[in-house]
Amino acid sequence: MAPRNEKRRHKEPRNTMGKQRTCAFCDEKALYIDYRDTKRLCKFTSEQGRIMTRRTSGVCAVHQRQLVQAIKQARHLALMPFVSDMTR
Amino acid sequence: MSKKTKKGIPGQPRYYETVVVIDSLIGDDAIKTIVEKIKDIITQKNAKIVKAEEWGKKKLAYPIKKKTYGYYVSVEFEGQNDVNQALIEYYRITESILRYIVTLVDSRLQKERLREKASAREIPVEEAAQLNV
Repeated sequence: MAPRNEKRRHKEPRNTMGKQRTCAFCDEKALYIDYRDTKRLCKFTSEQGRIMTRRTSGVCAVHQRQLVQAIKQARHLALMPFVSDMTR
Repeated sequence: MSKKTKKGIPGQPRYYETVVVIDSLIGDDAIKTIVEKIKDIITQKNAKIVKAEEWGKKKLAYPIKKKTYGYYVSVEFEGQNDVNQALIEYYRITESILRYIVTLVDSRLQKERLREKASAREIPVEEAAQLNV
């Protein structure tokens, strides 16, 4: 019987993240995030209408900056809500 | 010396886009006059209208000035900086314009739209560019 330490060494590294997350915009090679595409932008906001963090959405830093700007522009034009009711 | 920057080549016309939310209660004729006035301002300043779209009456995400519906109009144009200054001046004066936006559409968006157009018609990007002109 092999000692405990040896057994552990041969074990494959465990994936602590569970699933590998990738940026949704990087996958489709998006050059620009359009503020008029509200259906798309809504996926990156919470039920209350708040912008999701990078930690939860998995968007990369470059695209998160563009995404935030797009959502804010859409809000200004009343295409998206600043705050939406939970009881709808 | 002209140096190509992130926002394009200095001195060259730039590609802008403007979206306006007009109060839908003022009537079709009044909306039409506002849209024509916007186009007039753009053409008067020697800018070229590339695309003019009317999205129509839409429900606003939140009430503005106690109005729940707005009439959306978007115009894309190529011109110098003085155009959008004139536009914003007009937007501020007009009361029935609820919200407006004038944005610089950089070359990346143009490319993106060309790519969309090319994929919709199943033709290469270069051919789609020629169609646009």
